[in-house]
Amino acid sequence: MNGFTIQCPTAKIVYQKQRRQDPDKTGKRSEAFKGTPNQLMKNYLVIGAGIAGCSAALDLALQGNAVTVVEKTSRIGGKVLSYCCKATDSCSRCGVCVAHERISAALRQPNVTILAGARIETVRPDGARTLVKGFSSNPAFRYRACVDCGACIAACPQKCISRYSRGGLIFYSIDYSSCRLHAGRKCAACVEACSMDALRADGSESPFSLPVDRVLVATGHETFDPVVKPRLGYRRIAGVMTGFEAEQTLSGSMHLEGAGKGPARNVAFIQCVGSRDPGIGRNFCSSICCAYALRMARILKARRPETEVTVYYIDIQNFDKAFTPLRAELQGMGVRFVRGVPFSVARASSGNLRLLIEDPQGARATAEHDAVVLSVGMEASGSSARTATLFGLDRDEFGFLKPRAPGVRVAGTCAEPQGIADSVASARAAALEMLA
Amino acid sequence: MTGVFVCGCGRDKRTTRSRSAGKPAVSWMEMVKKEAGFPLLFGGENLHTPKGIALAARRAKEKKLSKLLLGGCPTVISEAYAHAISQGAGVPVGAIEFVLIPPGATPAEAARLIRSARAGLDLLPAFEKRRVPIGKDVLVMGGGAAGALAARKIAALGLRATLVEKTDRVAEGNGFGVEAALGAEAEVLTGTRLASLEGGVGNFTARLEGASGVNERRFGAVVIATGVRTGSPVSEPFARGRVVPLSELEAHVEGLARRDRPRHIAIILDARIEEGKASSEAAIRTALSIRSRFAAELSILLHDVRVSGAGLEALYDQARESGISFMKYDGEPRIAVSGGGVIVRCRDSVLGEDIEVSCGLAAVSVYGLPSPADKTLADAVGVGIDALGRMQENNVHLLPGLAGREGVFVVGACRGETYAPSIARDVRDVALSVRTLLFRKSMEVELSHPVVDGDKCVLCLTCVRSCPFRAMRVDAKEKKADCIPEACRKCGICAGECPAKAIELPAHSDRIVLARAGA
Repeated sequence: MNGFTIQCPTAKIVYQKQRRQDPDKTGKRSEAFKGTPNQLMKNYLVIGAGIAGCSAALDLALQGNAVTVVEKTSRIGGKVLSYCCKATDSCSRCGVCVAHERISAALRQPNVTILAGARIETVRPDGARTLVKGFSSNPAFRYRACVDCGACIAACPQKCISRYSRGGLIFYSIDYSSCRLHAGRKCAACVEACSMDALRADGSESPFSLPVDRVLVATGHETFDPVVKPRLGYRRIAGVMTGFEAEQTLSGSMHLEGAGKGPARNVAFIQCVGSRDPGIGRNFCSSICCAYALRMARILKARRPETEVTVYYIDIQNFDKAFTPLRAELQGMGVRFVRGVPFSVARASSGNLRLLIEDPQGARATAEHDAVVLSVGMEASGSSARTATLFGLDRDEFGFLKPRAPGVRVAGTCAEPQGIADSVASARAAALEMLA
Repeated sequence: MTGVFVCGCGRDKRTTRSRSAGKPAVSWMEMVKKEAGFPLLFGGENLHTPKGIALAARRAKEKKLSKLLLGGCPTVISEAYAHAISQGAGVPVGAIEFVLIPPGATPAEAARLIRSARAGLDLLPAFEKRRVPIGKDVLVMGGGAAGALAARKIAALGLRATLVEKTDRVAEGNGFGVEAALGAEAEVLTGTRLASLEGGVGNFTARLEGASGVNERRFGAVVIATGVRTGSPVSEPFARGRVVPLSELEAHVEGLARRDRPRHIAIILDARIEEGKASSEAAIRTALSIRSRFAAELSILLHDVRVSGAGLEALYDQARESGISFMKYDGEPRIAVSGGGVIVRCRDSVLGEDIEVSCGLAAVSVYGLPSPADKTLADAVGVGIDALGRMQENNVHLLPGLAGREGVFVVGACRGETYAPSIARDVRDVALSVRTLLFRKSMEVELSHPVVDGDKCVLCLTCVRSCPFRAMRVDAKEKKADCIPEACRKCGICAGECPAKAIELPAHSDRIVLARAGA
């Protein structure tokens, strides 16, 4: 039944191939690898196909292991695919391109199997291993077989197949909420249209049962929703957006839309929205918001130098390898830094947005802008409690995961809020620990 | 031998539509075949399907082809497709070339594109491959916390680690909670420095200068963890007994007689450059400890409190509750020693006014001062320098631990990372890279690296200087520049920069480029 799982022929073939190639395995072992026997046989499970999960899967597979990645949503790649490149005439080291390269490499890696639209039902010990059972959604893509011909997209009567393409990363995904086959109705238009045999469909779901040696949890985060702070006007006032939305806008367009017509002329970034805020029980720094806000401020200034950009902040975090010159560059470009974050955003009679700022003496100051970007932080994903229970993990007071059980590791933003480069490093560090 | 496969899916349909007439007497593909002037091994439709791939692969095998040229629409010209056909045909991916035939191309245009691509491919020499053995020894430079942890992690992977420390002391058990002696797991050479590092990935030759003279050793990979200079400085802004390094502050206060202990102590961060969360954490922890032990007043002066790490925000709250004052300033602080105390002048960033803080004792973090890396060492190992003068270029593709020279890695404070949990993570990341690199016994290198014409080369060293991967060196015997094939990434910068036009990439020689251009 589950021919595509970890015992799948691919894994075996790869293993056999490597055994033949490596004379160490047939004859005497080399000195160097005496301490690490049987490394080629390990089976790994990675939960979450975001940048951390894909990154770790890639590295584990490169060492000759079979890796299965299960992804809850129908689209692989996670949140990083929604972020924009933040380069001007020079790179600002946001890492979005690196993430695309690594996800693309993980997709092409023969030892990696990715199951989209998957859910895990049970996790129980099975001798020295862990048996993980669940279901993955159909129709499912065999990503390596796909040659990007577009036949399935054209054939789908529900138009529920979409193509993602950016920087060499090309893959298709299916919106299972509108797919007929997934709903149990009779339809196999996409499967029949595919000449590469890259789509698989038996029933609406396929069960999987994976005996795995090690598990990496990389389930990611959720973006803080600022409706919790109604005075900031999010979803009530035009021109107020989150940093996440600003990224999505800037990845497709040159400018932000303000409260008025045309590109925003006077943009305010409000830092620490939903971070460092004990009032709503979120007394931690999300560490990424300074990074993306300053990088976006840089591209706004570079694309249209007459745009006024103000950053309202508590403390600017150091996020770049050479942060001192980067901050000087921003100040040189004319980005204004104002200490103290506005607590209220309202529409002024001029049509602009009026920000109320309380200064340290308790006096109130106002400022007018025509677009406000709320630099929202990260929060633990809603399903982190269930993940923690399934795999025997602890959670910190804010819901982020900590490893407790042996054989289970945690990496990426489900462990701690962090940026792309840090997520990749944490995933690779976890991969190394899992190899031992 | 080169085989040409051309796919003509939907070509006739398009031409028919444009001519608004019936099916032409001669099909598009027939006309291409006639125009091309040489036989096509495949000239039909649906080359992208499994059937098409199988057919093409079979023909390639039958005719014992070594090179394939595939023409067609963007579906055919994809990496996935190249891999599929390469597997079936037994032709390496590097010997498969594509030519994009744009939609609406006339048979004559298509034939011209195919002809020039084939002419280029025909001229492409068959590259030999060489197996390069990979050494299992790893050189770790620097015996600080990062270097010691790196040696330990690398030794745990079954590789042989050699730790080289310039001074006579290795900071064992420093940080990261590792206490056991390192000598059992790795070879430790103290009082030793690196004189030169030759060769490329898998086969470095290091000349190590120690007390017993110069020693030549071979290594597969090199990890740089040389830290920054943190020794007791006496120069500006430090002043004996008045302005001390932050790391020595607590010991200094402890060493003072009770009546000499200052009532007010200032800790100054971000003095010259922006510091990271490690400095904020160290300042807060030191302040909390001094406050509880010696009941002194403490002020921390900094640009911004850096709290982007687990538990740091809570630590900051704890410090404020215990009465430690935080003063956030802009620009550079002016620190003056006067009489019995220290006066710090700076511009308060909250009030926007100049302020003056006088205290009995001040501490400055060394991480807030420029601490440029040893340029000679950086040049010797080939890691490059960032805008702050620290090891490793500020390039996102290298983060956290890679260097431009393959097989060389950088960790710790020498590249500007001072936060212990991040260093511990980066060390593991680097250990994984080292393992991936040295996992194989040997690696296969295609010898398509640049060739230097000895008659033209005048040894100006432009290529040696301009190669971002340190792949160019001087061949002393032949008296010309030479390329290390395993380090070369075939970017072509050396060929472009050479003032004598002595360097050529065999896969992009003038003849091939001209042939491709249809000249």
